[in-house]
Amino acid sequence: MQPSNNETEKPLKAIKMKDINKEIEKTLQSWDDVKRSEANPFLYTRIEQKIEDLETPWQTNRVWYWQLLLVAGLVIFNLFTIATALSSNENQSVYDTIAEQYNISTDVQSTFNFY
Amino acid sequence: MTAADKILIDAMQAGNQKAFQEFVETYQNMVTNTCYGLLQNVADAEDVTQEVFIEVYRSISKFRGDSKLSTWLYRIATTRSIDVLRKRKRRSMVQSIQTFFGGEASAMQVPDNRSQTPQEALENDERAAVLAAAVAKLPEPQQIAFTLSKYEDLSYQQIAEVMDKSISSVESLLFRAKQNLRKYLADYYRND
Repeated sequence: MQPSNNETEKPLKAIKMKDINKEIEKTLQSWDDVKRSEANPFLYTRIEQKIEDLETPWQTNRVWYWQLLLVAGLVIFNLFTIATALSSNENQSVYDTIAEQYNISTDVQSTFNFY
Repeated sequence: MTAADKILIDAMQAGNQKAFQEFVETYQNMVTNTCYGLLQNVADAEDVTQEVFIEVYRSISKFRGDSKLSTWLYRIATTRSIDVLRKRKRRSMVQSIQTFFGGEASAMQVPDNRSQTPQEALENDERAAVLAAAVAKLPEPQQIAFTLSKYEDLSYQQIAEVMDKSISSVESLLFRAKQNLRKYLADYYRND
């Protein structure tokens, strides 16, 4: 007489569970074999360098500072040029608008000649 | 705090560079090992170790000696390592969102470093990798307690001091950590 499916599955499951538990135990035990990590032999030198960089950023980033200074100078120069140009344009355009509205010549010489 | 630690701290607080070097050399393996235990990646562990010592250098004047020097160092090392783990999680979340919306994964991928161990002998050991992956799944407090216990062989009392918890809560954390690990490993081997 053949055993039913359920009857054969039970021992198989039990064997599988046993194997899994064995694997779990072995895996958990593998932790005990792990050796301690050791620090990099150049660790102190690297830390020292980083601390120096942090304490004297203006020295390590000297090029960066010069670049920033140059950009700032250019921006200020540009702003000054633009502002000067705008103020002269503004004055000019106001005079032109008034002259146009009243039909007056903005040429001073010709105005004198008229009289 | 030991007398040697007291002398070292006094010298460091006075700005003695040699004392700081001695301090780094004394505690570097302890810090690296703790960071590696949590991060499971050599490069990250080295970076965090450097950060830990730089933080010590900057804040040594504030150290009043209320706790042991090693306890203080363990605290900084675990806090910094957990920060890195959180960043990793955030990055992998962003990555999975990008992948979900059809975008390509960014260049700043989180490498699967679980297989990289400093121990040559265990490099190809699947068990170590499986266990490390299972530990990484643990909630943060359980992860810290488990790592300090297994990697650093700290007693419950010492772990309690580092984590600022009672001994009984450390016991319960470790108990739950082991239970969770068994559960994760059972799931892994069942699906294997």
